Amino acid sequence: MNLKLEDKVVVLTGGTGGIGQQICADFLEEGAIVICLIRKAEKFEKLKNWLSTKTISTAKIYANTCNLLDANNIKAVVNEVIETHKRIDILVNCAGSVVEMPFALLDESHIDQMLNTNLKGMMLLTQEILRPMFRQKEGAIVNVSSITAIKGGRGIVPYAAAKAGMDAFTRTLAIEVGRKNIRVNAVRPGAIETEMSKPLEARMDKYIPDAMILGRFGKPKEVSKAVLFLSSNETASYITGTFINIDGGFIV
Amino acid sequence: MELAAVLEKVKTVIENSTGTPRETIQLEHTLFDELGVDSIDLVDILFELEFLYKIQLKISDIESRARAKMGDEPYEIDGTITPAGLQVIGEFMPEISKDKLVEGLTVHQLVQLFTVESLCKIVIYRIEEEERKKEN
Repeated sequence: MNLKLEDKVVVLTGGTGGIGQQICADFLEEGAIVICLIRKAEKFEKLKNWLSTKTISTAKIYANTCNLLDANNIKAVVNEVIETHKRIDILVNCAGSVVEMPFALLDESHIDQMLNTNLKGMMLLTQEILRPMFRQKEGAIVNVSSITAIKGGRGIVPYAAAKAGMDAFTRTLAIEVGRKNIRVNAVRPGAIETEMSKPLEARMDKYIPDAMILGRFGKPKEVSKAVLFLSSNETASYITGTFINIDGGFIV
Repeated sequence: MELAAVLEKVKTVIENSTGTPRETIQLEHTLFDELGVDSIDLVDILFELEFLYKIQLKISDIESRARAKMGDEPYEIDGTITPAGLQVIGEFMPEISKDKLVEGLTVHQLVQLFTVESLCKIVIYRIEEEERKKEN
Protein backbone atom coordinates (compact mmCIF):
# COMPACT_ATOMS: atom_id res chain seq x y z
CA MET A 1 0.00 0.00 0.00
CA ASN A 2 1.27 3.44 -0.89
CA LEU A 3 1.24 5.52 2.28
CA LYS A 4 1.72 8.69 0.21
CA LEU A 5 4.50 9.96 2.46
CA GLU A 6 6.72 10.97 -0.47
CA ASP A 7 8.33 14.35 0.30
CA LYS A 8 6.34 14.78 3.50
CA VAL A 9 8.46 16.67 5.99
CA VAL A 10 8.92 14.65 9.17
CA VAL A 11 10.52 16.03 12.32
CA LEU A 12 11.65 13.33 14.69
CA THR A 13 13.27 13.23 18.11
CA GLY A 14 15.09 10.19 19.42
CA GLY A 15 16.05 9.25 15.87
CA THR A 16 19.33 7.74 16.95
CA GLY A 17 17.76 5.28 19.40
CA GLY A 18 16.77 1.71 18.60
CA ILE A 19 13.15 2.45 17.71
CA GLY A 20 13.89 5.94 16.37
CA GLN A 21 16.45 4.80 13.79
CA GLN A 22 13.99 2.27 12.43
CA ILE A 23 11.33 4.98 12.17
CA CYS A 24 13.84 7.10 10.22
CA ALA A 25 14.58 4.18 7.93
CA ASP A 26 10.91 3.48 7.22
CA PHE A 27 10.06 7.11 6.49
CA LEU A 28 13.06 7.35 4.16
CA GLU A 29 11.97 4.22 2.36
CA GLU A 30 8.60 5.87 1.81
CA GLY A 31 10.35 8.87 0.26
CA ALA A 32 9.77 11.28 3.14
CA ILE A 33 12.16 14.05 4.18
CA VAL A 34 13.37 13.32 7.71
CA ILE A 35 14.76 15.93 10.07
CA CYS A 36 16.27 14.45 13.20
CA LEU A 37 16.54 16.70 16.20
CA ILE A 38 19.59 15.45 18.04
CA ARG A 39 21.73 16.43 20.98
CA LYS A 40 25.09 15.36 19.59
CA ALA A 41 26.12 15.60 15.95
CA GLU A 42 28.32 12.50 16.10
CA LYS A 43 25.28 10.34 16.78
CA PHE A 44 23.84 11.43 13.47
CA GLU A 45 26.88 10.09 11.66
CA LYS A 46 26.33 6.75 13.36
CA LEU A 47 22.70 6.82 12.26
CA LYS A 48 23.66 7.56 8.65
CA ASN A 49 26.20 4.73 8.73
CA TRP A 50 23.56 2.36 10.07
CA LEU A 51 21.13 3.44 7.34
CA SER A 52 23.81 2.86 4.73
CA THR A 53 24.35 -0.69 5.99
CA LYS A 54 20.64 -1.22 5.33
CA THR A 55 21.14 0.23 1.82
CA ILE A 56 18.76 3.08 2.60
CA SER A 57 19.56 6.37 0.90
CA THR A 58 20.54 9.16 3.27
CA ALA A 59 19.92 11.87 0.69
CA LYS A 60 16.73 13.04 2.39
CA ILE A 61 17.74 12.85 6.04
CA TYR A 62 18.99 15.91 7.89
CA ALA A 63 19.96 16.69 11.45
CA ASN A 64 19.58 19.76 13.59
CA THR A 65 21.13 19.89 17.02
CA CYS A 66 18.50 20.92 19.51
CA ASN A 67 18.17 21.17 23.25
CA LEU A 68 14.61 20.02 23.84
CA LEU A 69 14.54 21.67 27.23
CA ASP A 70 15.31 25.12 25.88
CA ALA A 71 12.22 26.77 24.40
CA ASN A 72 14.25 29.47 22.65
CA ASN A 73 16.52 26.91 21.05
CA ILE A 74 13.51 24.89 19.92
CA LYS A 75 11.94 27.99 18.38
CA ALA A 76 15.13 28.77 16.48
CA VAL A 77 15.47 25.20 15.21
CA VAL A 78 11.84 24.96 14.10
CA ASN A 79 12.18 28.29 12.29
CA GLU A 80 15.28 26.96 10.55
CA VAL A 81 13.41 23.83 9.47
CA ILE A 82 10.56 25.93 8.11
CA GLU A 83 13.00 28.24 6.35
CA THR A 84 14.56 25.27 4.59
CA HIS A 85 11.66 22.89 4.03
CA LYS A 86 8.69 25.33 4.11
CA ARG A 87 6.44 23.06 6.16
CA ILE A 88 6.28 20.32 8.78
CA ASP A 89 3.78 17.58 8.03
CA ILE A 90 4.58 15.06 10.71
CA LEU A 91 6.10 15.19 14.18
CA VAL A 92 7.26 12.01 15.88
CA ASN A 93 8.15 12.44 19.53
CA CYS A 94 10.38 9.46 20.15
CA ALA A 95 13.07 10.80 22.50
CA GLY A 96 13.08 9.12 25.86
CA SER A 97 15.28 7.79 28.58
CA VAL A 98 14.92 5.55 31.60
CA VAL A 99 16.97 5.04 34.74
CA GLU A 100 16.00 1.76 36.32
CA MET A 101 16.12 2.04 40.06
CA PRO A 102 13.70 1.63 42.96
CA PHE A 103 11.80 4.87 43.40
CA ALA A 104 12.87 5.21 47.02
CA LEU A 105 16.51 5.37 45.95
CA LEU A 106 16.16 7.95 43.19
CA ASP A 107 17.47 11.40 43.77
CA GLU A 108 15.85 14.57 42.51
CA SER A 109 18.10 14.83 39.46
CA HIS A 110 16.96 11.38 38.23
CA ILE A 111 13.32 12.37 38.60
CA ASP A 112 13.91 15.67 36.82
CA GLN A 113 15.80 13.95 34.04
CA MET A 114 13.03 11.44 33.37
CA LEU A 115 10.18 13.92 33.55
CA ASN A 116 12.08 16.42 31.42
CA THR A 117 13.28 14.02 28.74
CA ASN A 118 10.10 12.01 28.47
CA LEU A 119 7.51 14.72 28.97
CA LYS A 120 8.54 18.36 29.17
CA GLY A 121 10.81 18.39 26.11
CA MET A 122 8.13 16.70 24.05
CA MET A 123 5.59 19.32 25.14
CA LEU A 124 7.86 22.26 24.32
CA LEU A 125 8.67 20.92 20.88
CA THR A 126 5.06 20.05 20.07
CA GLN A 127 3.94 23.52 21.13
CA GLU A 128 6.34 25.12 18.66
CA ILE A 129 5.54 22.74 15.81
CA LEU A 130 1.83 23.45 16.20
CA ARG A 131 2.53 26.89 14.71
CA PRO A 132 3.31 25.67 11.20
CA MET A 133 0.70 22.93 11.50
CA PHE A 134 -1.99 25.48 12.38
CA ARG A 135 -0.96 27.57 9.39
CA GLN A 136 -0.99 24.55 7.09
CA LYS A 137 -4.36 23.48 8.53
CA GLU A 138 -2.92 20.00 8.57
CA GLY A 139 -0.54 17.87 10.57
CA ALA A 140 0.02 14.54 12.25
CA ILE A 141 1.72 14.05 15.58
CA VAL A 142 2.71 10.60 16.78
CA ASN A 143 4.02 10.17 20.29
CA VAL A 144 6.07 7.14 21.21
CA SER A 145 4.72 6.37 24.66
CA SER A 146 5.20 3.09 26.48
CA ILE A 147 3.10 0.20 27.68
CA THR A 148 4.33 1.18 31.15
CA ALA A 149 1.93 4.11 30.94
CA ILE A 150 -0.88 1.65 31.60
CA LYS A 151 0.84 -1.33 33.20
CA GLY A 152 3.67 -0.62 35.54
CA GLY A 153 6.78 -2.47 36.49
CA ARG A 154 9.40 -2.18 39.16
CA GLY A 155 12.14 0.42 39.01
CA ILE A 156 10.55 2.73 36.46
CA VAL A 157 8.21 4.89 38.51
CA PRO A 158 9.05 8.37 37.09
CA TYR A 159 9.41 6.95 33.57
CA ALA A 160 5.98 5.31 33.76
CA ALA A 161 4.50 8.47 35.27
CA ALA A 162 5.97 10.56 32.45
CA LYS A 163 4.63 8.17 29.80
CA ALA A 164 1.19 8.22 31.42
CA GLY A 165 1.50 12.00 31.20
CA MET A 166 2.35 11.65 27.53
CA ASP A 167 -0.82 9.60 27.05
CA ALA A 168 -2.93 12.28 28.72
CA PHE A 169 -1.14 14.89 26.63
CA THR A 170 -1.95 12.93 23.47
CA ARG A 171 -5.61 12.57 24.33
CA THR A 172 -6.21 16.15 25.40
CA LEU A 173 -4.16 17.79 22.67
CA ALA A 174 -6.07 15.73 20.12
CA ILE A 175 -9.26 17.29 21.45
CA GLU A 176 -7.82 20.80 21.27
CA VAL A 177 -6.40 20.72 17.77
CA GLY A 178 -8.62 18.23 15.96
CA ARG A 179 -10.80 20.92 14.45
CA LYS A 180 -7.69 22.39 12.85
CA ASN A 181 -7.11 19.09 11.05
CA ILE A 182 -4.18 18.14 13.23
CA ARG A 183 -4.22 14.53 14.40
CA VAL A 184 -2.49 13.42 17.59
CA ASN A 185 -1.95 9.75 18.35
CA ALA A 186 0.48 7.53 20.20
CA VAL A 187 2.00 4.09 20.12
CA ARG A 188 2.77 2.19 23.28
CA PRO A 189 5.67 -0.18 22.71
CA GLY A 190 6.17 -2.98 25.20
CA ALA A 191 9.47 -4.83 25.45
CA ILE A 192 11.28 -4.11 22.19
CA GLU A 193 14.75 -5.37 21.26
CA THR A 194 16.84 -2.22 21.68
CA GLU A 195 19.87 -1.10 23.69
CA MET A 196 17.46 0.55 26.14
CA SER A 197 15.71 -2.74 26.87
CA LYS A 198 18.85 -4.90 27.17
CA PRO A 199 18.81 -4.99 31.00
CA LEU A 200 15.13 -5.94 30.91
CA GLU A 201 15.79 -8.62 28.32
CA ALA A 202 18.50 -10.19 30.46
CA ARG A 203 16.25 -10.23 33.52
CA MET A 204 13.07 -11.37 31.84
CA ASP A 205 14.35 -14.04 29.52
CA LYS A 206 12.76 -16.94 31.37
CA TYR A 207 9.50 -15.10 32.08
CA ILE A 208 8.82 -13.91 28.58
CA PRO A 209 6.53 -16.78 27.52
CA ASP A 210 4.29 -16.03 30.51
CA ALA A 211 4.40 -12.26 30.23
CA MET A 212 3.88 -11.87 26.51
CA ILE A 213 1.19 -13.76 24.64
CA LEU A 214 3.40 -13.84 21.56
CA GLY A 215 6.26 -15.22 23.64
CA ARG A 216 9.01 -12.88 22.51
CA PHE A 217 10.30 -9.34 22.52
CA GLY A 218 9.13 -7.05 19.76
CA LYS A 219 11.31 -5.66 17.00
CA PRO A 220 11.79 -1.94 16.29
CA LYS A 221 10.20 -2.44 12.88
CA GLU A 222 7.01 -3.63 14.54
CA VAL A 223 6.79 -0.25 16.24
CA SER A 224 7.89 1.89 13.31
CA LYS A 225 5.24 0.44 11.02
CA ALA A 226 2.54 1.56 13.45
CA VAL A 227 4.11 5.03 13.62
CA LEU A 228 3.97 5.32 9.84
CA PHE A 229 0.41 4.03 9.81
CA LEU A 230 -0.67 6.76 12.24
CA SER A 231 1.34 9.41 10.36
CA SER A 232 -0.17 8.76 6.98
CA ASN A 233 -3.39 10.39 5.84
CA GLU A 234 -3.87 7.41 3.56
CA THR A 235 -4.27 5.06 6.50
CA ALA A 236 -5.18 7.18 9.52
CA SER A 237 -6.97 10.30 8.30
CA TYR A 238 -9.90 9.60 10.64
CA ILE A 239 -7.83 8.48 13.62
CA THR A 240 -6.95 10.86 16.44
CA GLY A 241 -6.55 10.71 20.20
CA THR A 242 -5.93 7.01 20.09
CA PHE A 243 -3.22 4.54 21.09
CA ILE A 244 -1.81 1.41 19.54
CA ASN A 245 -0.30 -1.05 21.99
CA ILE A 246 2.62 -2.88 20.44
CA ASP A 247 3.38 -5.22 23.28
CA GLY A 248 2.93 -8.79 22.08
CA GLY A 249 -0.16 -9.04 24.24
CA PHE A 250 1.57 -7.98 27.46
CA ILE A 251 -1.44 -6.17 28.88
CA VAL A 252 -4.09 -8.70 27.89
CA MET B 1 0.94 51.01 10.24
CA GLU B 2 -2.59 51.91 9.24
CA LEU B 3 -5.59 50.29 10.82
CA ALA B 4 -7.29 49.80 7.45
CA ALA B 5 -4.38 47.82 6.04
CA VAL B 6 -4.15 45.58 9.10
CA LEU B 7 -7.92 45.13 9.08
CA GLU B 8 -7.84 43.67 5.58
CA LYS B 9 -5.33 41.01 6.62
CA VAL B 10 -7.10 40.33 9.89
CA LYS B 11 -10.36 39.74 8.01
CA THR B 12 -8.66 37.23 5.73
CA VAL B 13 -7.06 35.42 8.65
CA ILE B 14 -10.37 35.22 10.53
CA GLU B 15 -12.08 33.92 7.41
CA ASN B 16 -9.42 31.25 6.92
CA SER B 17 -9.62 30.19 10.54
CA THR B 18 -13.38 30.23 11.15
CA GLY B 19 -14.94 30.20 7.72
CA THR B 20 -16.75 33.49 8.37
CA PRO B 21 -16.88 35.33 5.03
CA ARG B 22 -14.54 38.33 5.18
CA GLU B 23 -17.13 40.71 3.71
CA THR B 24 -19.35 40.14 6.75
CA ILE B 25 -16.58 40.92 9.26
CA GLN B 26 -16.80 44.40 10.76
CA LEU B 27 -14.33 46.32 12.88
CA GLU B 28 -16.77 46.49 15.81
CA HIS B 29 -17.66 42.78 15.84
CA THR B 30 -16.65 40.96 19.01
CA LEU B 31 -14.45 37.98 18.19
CA PHE B 32 -16.05 35.45 20.52
CA ASP B 33 -19.73 36.35 20.67
CA GLU B 34 -20.39 37.81 17.25
CA LEU B 35 -17.85 36.02 15.05
CA GLY B 36 -17.94 32.72 16.91
CA VAL B 37 -14.18 32.57 17.39
CA ASP B 38 -13.14 30.13 20.13
CA SER B 39 -9.87 29.90 22.01
CA ILE B 40 -8.28 27.51 19.49
CA ASP B 41 -9.37 29.72 16.58
CA LEU B 42 -7.77 32.62 18.41
CA VAL B 43 -4.49 30.70 18.68
CA ASP B 44 -4.75 29.92 14.97
CA ILE B 45 -5.43 33.58 14.16
CA LEU B 46 -2.53 34.81 16.29
CA PHE B 47 -0.11 32.26 14.76
CA GLU B 48 -1.09 33.35 11.26
CA LEU B 49 -0.76 37.06 12.04
CA GLU B 50 2.63 36.40 13.65
CA PHE B 51 3.73 34.69 10.47
CA LEU B 52 2.38 37.41 8.17
CA TYR B 53 3.92 40.28 10.09
CA LYS B 54 7.00 38.47 11.47
CA ILE B 55 6.11 39.47 15.02
CA GLN B 56 5.43 37.74 18.32
CA LEU B 57 1.85 38.33 19.42
CA LYS B 58 0.45 37.97 22.87
CA ILE B 59 -3.16 38.57 23.69
CA SER B 60 -1.85 39.74 27.07
CA ASP B 61 -0.07 42.70 25.40
CA ILE B 62 -2.98 44.95 26.38
CA GLU B 63 -2.70 43.77 29.96
CA SER B 64 1.07 44.39 29.95
CA ARG B 65 0.55 47.90 28.67
CA ALA B 66 -2.08 48.56 31.33
CA ARG B 67 0.22 47.26 34.07
CA ALA B 68 3.08 49.41 32.78
CA LYS B 69 0.90 52.51 32.80
CA MET B 70 -0.42 51.81 36.28
CA GLY B 71 2.97 51.42 37.91
CA ASP B 72 2.57 50.22 41.50
CA GLU B 73 -1.21 50.36 41.42
CA PRO B 74 -2.67 46.86 41.02
CA TYR B 75 -4.23 46.00 37.63
CA GLU B 76 -5.95 42.92 38.97
CA ILE B 77 -6.46 41.16 42.26
CA ASP B 78 -6.91 37.37 42.14
CA GLY B 79 -7.75 37.54 38.46
CA THR B 80 -10.38 40.28 38.81
CA ILE B 81 -9.54 43.59 37.16
CA THR B 82 -9.50 46.49 39.61
CA PRO B 83 -11.62 49.63 38.98
CA ALA B 84 -8.41 51.52 38.12
CA GLY B 85 -7.45 48.68 35.77
CA LEU B 86 -10.83 48.90 34.06
CA GLN B 87 -10.35 52.62 33.57
CA VAL B 88 -6.99 52.13 31.87
CA ILE B 89 -8.41 49.36 29.68
CA GLY B 90 -11.25 51.71 28.73
CA GLU B 91 -8.69 54.28 27.61
CA PHE B 92 -6.66 51.78 25.63
CA MET B 93 -9.65 50.07 24.10
CA PRO B 94 -12.48 52.55 23.60
CA GLU B 95 -13.95 50.11 21.10
CA ILE B 96 -15.12 47.95 23.99
CA SER B 97 -18.50 49.10 25.19
CA LYS B 98 -18.20 50.93 28.55
CA ASP B 99 -21.17 49.08 29.97
CA LYS B 100 -19.23 45.83 29.60
CA LEU B 101 -16.18 47.08 31.50
CA VAL B 102 -17.88 46.63 34.84
CA GLU B 103 -16.60 45.80 38.29
CA GLY B 104 -15.99 42.09 38.77
CA LEU B 105 -14.74 41.57 35.22
CA THR B 106 -11.95 39.01 35.19
CA VAL B 107 -8.80 39.00 33.06
CA HIS B 108 -10.18 35.95 31.26
CA GLN B 109 -13.54 37.60 30.57
CA LEU B 110 -11.84 40.68 29.13
CA VAL B 111 -10.48 38.62 26.22
CA GLN B 112 -14.05 37.60 25.43
CA LEU B 113 -14.90 41.26 24.86
CA PHE B 114 -12.18 41.85 22.29
CA THR B 115 -13.38 43.12 18.96
CA VAL B 116 -11.81 42.90 15.52
CA GLU B 117 -10.49 46.40 16.18
CA SER B 118 -8.87 45.23 19.44
CA LEU B 119 -7.08 42.52 17.51
CA CYS B 120 -5.92 45.01 14.86
CA LYS B 121 -4.63 47.31 17.59
CA ILE B 122 -2.68 44.49 19.24
CA VAL B 123 -1.03 43.76 15.89
CA ILE B 124 -0.23 47.43 15.27
CA TYR B 125 1.14 47.83 18.79
CA ARG B 126 3.46 44.86 18.32
CA ILE B 127 4.62 46.01 14.86
CA GLU B 128 5.43 49.43 16.26
CA GLU B 129 7.21 47.89 19.23
CA GLU B 130 9.37 45.82 16.86
CA GLU B 131 10.14 48.94 14.81
CA ARG B 132 11.09 50.84 17.96
CA LYS B 133 13.40 47.99 18.98
CA LYS B 134 15.08 48.05 15.58
CA GLU B 135 15.58 51.82 15.74
CA ASN B 136 17.23 51.51 19.15
